[in-house]
Amino acid sequence: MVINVVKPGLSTTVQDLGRPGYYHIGIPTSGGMDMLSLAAANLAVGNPAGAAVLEAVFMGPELEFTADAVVAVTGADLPPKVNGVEQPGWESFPVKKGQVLSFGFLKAGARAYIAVSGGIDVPVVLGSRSTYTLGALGGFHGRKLQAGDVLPVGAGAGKAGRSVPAALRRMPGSPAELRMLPGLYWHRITEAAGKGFFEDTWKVAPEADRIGYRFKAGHPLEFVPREQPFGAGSDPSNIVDACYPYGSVQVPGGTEPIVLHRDAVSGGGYFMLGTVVSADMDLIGQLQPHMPTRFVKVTMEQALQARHDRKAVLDGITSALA
Amino acid sequence: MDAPTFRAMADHALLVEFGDDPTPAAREAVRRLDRVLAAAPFAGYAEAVPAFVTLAVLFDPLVTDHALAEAHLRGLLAHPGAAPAAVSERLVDVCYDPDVAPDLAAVAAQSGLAPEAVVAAHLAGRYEVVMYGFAPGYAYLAGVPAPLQLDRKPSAVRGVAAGSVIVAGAQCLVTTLTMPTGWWVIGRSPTKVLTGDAARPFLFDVGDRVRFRRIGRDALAAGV
Repeated sequence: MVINVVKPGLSTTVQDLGRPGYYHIGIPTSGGMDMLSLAAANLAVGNPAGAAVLEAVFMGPELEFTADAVVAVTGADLPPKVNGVEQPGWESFPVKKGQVLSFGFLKAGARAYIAVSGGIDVPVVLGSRSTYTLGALGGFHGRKLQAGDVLPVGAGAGKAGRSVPAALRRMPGSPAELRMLPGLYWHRITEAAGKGFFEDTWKVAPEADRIGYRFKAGHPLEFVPREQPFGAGSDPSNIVDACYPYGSVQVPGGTEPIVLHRDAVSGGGYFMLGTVVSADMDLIGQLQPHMPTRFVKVTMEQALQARHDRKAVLDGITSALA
Repeated sequence: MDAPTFRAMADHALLVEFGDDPTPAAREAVRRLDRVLAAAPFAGYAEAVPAFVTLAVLFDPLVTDHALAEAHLRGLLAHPGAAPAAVSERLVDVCYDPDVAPDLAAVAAQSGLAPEAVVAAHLAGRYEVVMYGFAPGYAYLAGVPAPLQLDRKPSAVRGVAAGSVIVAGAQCLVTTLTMPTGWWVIGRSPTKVLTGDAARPFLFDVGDRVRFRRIGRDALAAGV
């Protein structure tokens, strides 16, 4: 079966669990920005957790179904409607042949995950169906959806009326709190600057996308005077070029931190202040511009515990919907 | 090469650092560890990203941890064993005409050379693929001759065309996407860095040697 894209929304892409294994040649993993919500949407309709879904940012698409299917929408509070009738979020519901799935205005969060029984069946590229728009790779012709697109959907029966337990729906608070490990280059900033970084309430900048989230409105960092290694540039925030791991925090010029996300640039010459713990990367995917955000200093032990706690949430959703 | 240092880089990453001086010996040490690790990975290993003096080792922290990964890597370093990888030489065409080399004059002015001498020096360089970074297919080449080694521009210029040949410090790169860059644009290449082959998406392997060959405007336009 296929879905006709009547209206594409603002930036709707096909995403799954991503494309690991190519970072060493500069290809980021891509995949859902909020993986927990992506997996929950799939599990609610009866798909495998990693089936391809649609990730809609701030504004939903309008989709015409050409066959009966089961749909679930998770993540951002972007109310789904079938032929104009509002449907619950985080719960699977039927969409009949000829009906139109549309969305109300965004109430909270940033990215909604739209799972369809059978999964979005675009070709697998380098092991994944995820869209990497910058590289025009994967997804639907390597780009966000446009009006008139015809999306293939896989075969799958689906189950309606299955709800993700409310306690397992993980969304950021206000201010959002992102746990962070101080990084390898922490010593490059002054003690006062380091303290200020964690005390400041930052705001999500308008430049916040799948490559990275930029934050503003905190105090500029003060650097410890030092001799730059040759070739590393004259700015104190430069380093000899190296890998930027997913979640790493750069502060070009010492002013506005950027957390690299799913479509990250794989390496470069800015120093990394630290790394947001992998368990909290889902939350970043749900931040709107101007959201107040604080970075919370944690130890490696706490970061690994957070990773286990996140896994427990996913396991909980999996068993609740089994 | 001195023993490397191991540092936790993220909850899912360990950085192996071979000093802080980007020498050929450091690059070879990085590459050797990358090769033996690929041949003998540990449980939970995801992938490794080589750079000038570092190898970032990425893993699943639900399966393993930094201490186990480090112990495995130390074992590999103690018994490197693996033969050096075969090295390929790649030829990259480049046109240095002023309209596709907007920074050639500025590089000439800063290096104290005539523009033609900058071209000659760039062509005389022997380059080596050290790492991929920034964006897909952005292969960092080491080996820019000393007179052409300049600091990056104070701020990035937007919309630099795909295929641009850019330099900064001892590094040179052929861009594959139209992106901002703070490096100096000294030419344009029609050579296809993106191969279109899913199994081997890019022309270069880390460790390859690269030479540049000058072409004229017609050959650039013809996309030779």
